[in-house]
Amino acid sequence: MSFDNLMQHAYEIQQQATLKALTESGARPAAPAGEPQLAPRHGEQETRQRVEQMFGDIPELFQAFAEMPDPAAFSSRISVVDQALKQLSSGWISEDPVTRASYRANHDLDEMLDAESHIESWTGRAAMEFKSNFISPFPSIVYNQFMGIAVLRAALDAEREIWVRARDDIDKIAHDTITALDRMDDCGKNEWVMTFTVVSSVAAVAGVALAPVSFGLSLGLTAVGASSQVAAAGVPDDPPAVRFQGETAPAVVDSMRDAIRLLHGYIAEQEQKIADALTNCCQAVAQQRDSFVAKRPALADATQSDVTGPLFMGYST
Amino acid sequence: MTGERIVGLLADRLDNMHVTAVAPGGAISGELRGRDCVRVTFAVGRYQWLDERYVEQQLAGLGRLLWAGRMKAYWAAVSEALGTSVSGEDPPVGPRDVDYQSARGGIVAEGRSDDGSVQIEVRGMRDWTVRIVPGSLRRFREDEFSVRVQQAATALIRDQFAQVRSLKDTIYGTAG
Repeated sequence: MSFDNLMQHAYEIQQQATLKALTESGARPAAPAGEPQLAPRHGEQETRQRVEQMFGDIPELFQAFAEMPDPAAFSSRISVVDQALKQLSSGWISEDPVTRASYRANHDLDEMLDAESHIESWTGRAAMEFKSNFISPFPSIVYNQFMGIAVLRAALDAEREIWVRARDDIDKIAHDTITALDRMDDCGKNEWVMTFTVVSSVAAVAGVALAPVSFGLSLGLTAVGASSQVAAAGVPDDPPAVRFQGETAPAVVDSMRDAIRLLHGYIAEQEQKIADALTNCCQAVAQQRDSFVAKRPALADATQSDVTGPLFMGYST
Repeated sequence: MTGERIVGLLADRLDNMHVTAVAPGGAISGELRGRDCVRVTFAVGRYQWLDERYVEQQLAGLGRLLWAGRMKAYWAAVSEALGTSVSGEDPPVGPRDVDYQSARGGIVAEGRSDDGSVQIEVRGMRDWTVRIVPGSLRRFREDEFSVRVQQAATALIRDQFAQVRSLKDTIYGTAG
C-alpha cells in the first residue's frame, strides 16, 4: 500500500512543483549539494526563494495524514470487545444487531436459571428479592449488555473504516498531484477527478431496540457501523467526486491544497457521526441504568453468621 | 530545491513510450520513443528508387499516424496514472479553456534538420507539411537521411511542447 510512502510522495511533489515553477520563471534550480554552485543570474536567487516559499508548506500538509491512527491498531481492541460479546451471547444464538454476525450461546449464562430452583424454597427476604431483582431480569439485562457492547464494537469498526479510507484518499491525492505535475506541460487540458471515499465510511443503523426491564418504555440505542459491515446498509450514496484543473505548477498545488482541505472536512464529518451516536447511547444507557445493571443483591452483604437470618436467605422449607 | 528526481508513474510511461507506424505507401516505417525521439527506416531496397516529393507526402502521413499513436498511448498512461479510464479531453469550462483550445488549434510548430535539408511543419497537430531540399535523397545515404528526419522531428516536437507551455502560461497565467 503506497500510503507508507506518503511523505516521500510529499517531497516528490514539492521537488517537482519547484522545478516546474523555476523553469516557468526562467530560473535554474540550485546545484546539488557538494557540487559548485552556478554563477547567479540577475534575480535568480530571489526567484528561487520565492518559489521555495510557495511550496514550503507541502510536507507539513501531508504530515498530519502520515500521523493518522493506524487502522491495524484497532484490531486488538475490537478483539477484546468481541470476546465480551461471546461471553454475553445467550439463548441458542445471539445475532449482532449491526453486522448480523452470529454468536454461539455462552451456556454458562444458563446457570442463572438453575440458581432459581436452588433458592425457591428459601424464605428470607433477600432470597425472594434476589429472584425478582436479579434472576428474573437477568436474561433481559444480558441481552441489553450484549446489544450495548455490539453497538460499541460497531462504533470501533466505523472508526477504523474512516482511517482505512482516509489513507486511500490521501494517497490518491498525492498520486493525482504527481500525475498532474507530470501532465501539465502536455497539450491537453490538465484536469482530474478526486473521489472522497471516506464520506461513505460510517453508515447509520436503524435504532437498536432493548429489552425492557422495569415498567415503562425502553429507549433504543443509536448505532453506527462501518458501511462495509452494516448488514442492512443498502447501497451507499456515491461519494462526492470533485473536479480539479491546473495548467501551472502553482495551480496544480492549489488544487492539491483544496483537496486536502476537503478531506480534513469529510473526515471530521464522519467522526462526528460516530460521536453523535455514542453520545446518544451514553444518554440512553444513563437514563435506563436498570436495564443494563441489576441492583446490587442484598445477599452480597450477608456474612456467615447472618446469612440464614430472615433478612437474607432465611430457612429452607 | 536540489537532489535526485523521483519519477512519477505518468512521467515514467511518457519517458518509455514506444509507438510505431508505417507510412501509407509501405515504403517507410517510423517509431517514436520516449518524448521526442523519432526514427525512420526504409523498406529494403526502396530508398534508392524514391524521390523527394513522394517521401515528403509519405513522411507527412507518417507524422499523422505516429501522432495518433502517441495520443492513444498518452491516454492509456493517464488512465493508468489516475486509476480511471480517460480517453479524451472534457469540453471547455470557462473562457480560459475556450481561448486555450482555440489558440492551440492554431499553433504552427516547426522543426528542421541541422543542415536545413529536411523541414517538418504541423498546424494544430493536424495538418502536416514536409519539405525536403531537392537532391537530398541522392546526396545522402539512407542512414544519413534518416538522421536528418530524426533531427527535424525532434525539433518539431520540442517546438510544439514549448509553444503549448508558453500558451498555457499566457492564458492560465502565473496569477491564475
